[in-house]
Amino acid sequence: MITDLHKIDAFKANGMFPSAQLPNEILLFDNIDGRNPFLPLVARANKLWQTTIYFQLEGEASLRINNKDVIVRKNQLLITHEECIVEFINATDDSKFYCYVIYPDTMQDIFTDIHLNYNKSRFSYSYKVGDMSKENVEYFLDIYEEIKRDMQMPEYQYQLNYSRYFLNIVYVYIINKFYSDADMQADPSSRQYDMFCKFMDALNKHADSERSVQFYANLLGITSKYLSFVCLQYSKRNASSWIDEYVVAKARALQNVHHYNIKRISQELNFISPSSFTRFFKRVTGAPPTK
Amino acid sequence: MITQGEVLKAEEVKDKECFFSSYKGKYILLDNLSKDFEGIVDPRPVVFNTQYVAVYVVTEGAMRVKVSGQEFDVKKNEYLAVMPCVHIEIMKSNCRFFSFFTLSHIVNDIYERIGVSNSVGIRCFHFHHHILRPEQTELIYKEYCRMKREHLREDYKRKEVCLRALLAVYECHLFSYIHEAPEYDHYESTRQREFFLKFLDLLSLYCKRERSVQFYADKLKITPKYLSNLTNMYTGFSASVLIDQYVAYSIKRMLYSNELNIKKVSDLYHFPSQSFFGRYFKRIVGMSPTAYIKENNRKAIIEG
Repeated sequence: MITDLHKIDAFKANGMFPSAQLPNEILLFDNIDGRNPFLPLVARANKLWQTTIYFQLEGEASLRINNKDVIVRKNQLLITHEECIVEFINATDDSKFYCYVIYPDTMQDIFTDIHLNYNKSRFSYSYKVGDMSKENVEYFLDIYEEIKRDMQMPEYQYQLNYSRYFLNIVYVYIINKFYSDADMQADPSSRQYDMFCKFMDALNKHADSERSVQFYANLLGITSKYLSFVCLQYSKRNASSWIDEYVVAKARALQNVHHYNIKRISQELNFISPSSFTRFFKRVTGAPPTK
Repeated sequence: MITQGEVLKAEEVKDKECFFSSYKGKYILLDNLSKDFEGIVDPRPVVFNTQYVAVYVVTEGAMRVKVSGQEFDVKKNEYLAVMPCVHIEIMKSNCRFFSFFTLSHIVNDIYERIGVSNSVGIRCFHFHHHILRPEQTELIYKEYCRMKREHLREDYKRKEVCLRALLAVYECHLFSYIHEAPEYDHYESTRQREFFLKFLDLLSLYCKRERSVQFYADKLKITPKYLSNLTNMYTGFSASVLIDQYVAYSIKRMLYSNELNIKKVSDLYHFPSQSFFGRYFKRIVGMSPTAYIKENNRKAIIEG
């Protein structure tokens, strides 16, 4: 199953121990001191409700995000926005990284700080990878170490603000790097966006039994055409590709975590026969499930 | 002499081998820490600053200053914060120091965001002189270096947000650690001092309605002349100048925050007419309210 990582306990249960944290605000993970906290997460898909900003210092790591293979190389930066499905596949032995996990409320405050409308619809379910200059790698590592040092200090009144304002700087860099002005334009949440969110929630709930756009459209009380239009509007992908993605992610999780065979998986996911499951899987990912 | 705004201009420091950087006149850094420089920096001798929150930290030697009529030394590992509307004069600066000046509205915004209760407005006319532990000096110095590095980076989009963030980071530290640092009290608590402080309280309370010295003197049950003598003693300026400066300061803050238009501000401050308000503002600030908004409005600042 796709695990929701929401509370810190969920992270810990998955073997991820933060290097430092402000509970329910900001978590820090790194293996700069030699640990590898992401390893137990291998081959498990996780829905991340938080924004994560991941920096690769040495080596490389391969991940699967929203069902796409992503490789993060040395001196690269990865940002996954809220609600991405992230699966950590493996990393080279010399992989060195650090990463921020920022909860939605804190993210909203960061947006307010930098005078931008918190516009979830623009970013949710999306990610970006990009190179960083050497100077910036050092600059942001310095900031990370400062935040980590401060978080490990005894609690004080303005501790959260302290870290948050540093993250402002990191986030300004990300916005300048990846997004144009048009991307940042205000777009207040609308009925359509509510619809899109409801669809994603329904998907999370029903993906192991239903795969037709019609079903979800009926659930929301709209036509399937309109549903696909709404999805395109907010995620630049249509409804059926989202459905495929969730089903494949769930299938992968069943295969890797529970070690179910294809027959069992096809039953769990409500396919008529193993062969139809195989055909479905091959159509979506381009490779048969046995791989 | 009353100087409006500018603390120091780049041309004036050019040949003085110190570091000076000003980001659109909103964030200003000044230090003489560079190693090959042995001389003495003489920051503009008299500043009656109406807009900036200024912070001086001395890392070596001592700086002789006269603030609000009090003359004293800021020694090694000491910290001096000067709020808006304070008269500061640097008598002798045989020291290494760094300092930064920030538009008070920006500081005020940060206070609101991080939840500091006292606004800059209440702190007007005040200054704080603290003794720091060496590690606290180190900490502020580190933050100063970060600001300096950010200043020196090439201009990029939303640079201002980053500068503000660094300032906020500094404020968070300031209010957590340095606030508890022992503070010099440069004044004996006398009857005169009490009158002066009472006057400041009244000013922040009634500045929207009353701008005559007579009114405040009556409230304090003293003569206007005595009140002016008092303010002269503590700030070097007469009561009417202080009143005007404070009113101008609070109007500027209002215009900056972009909540009210000029007409409404003029009504709020009980000016008989908008044109009277415009003239009053121009006399004190040196530019018309419209020009001020164009240059210093929060919206203008964000959109750069």
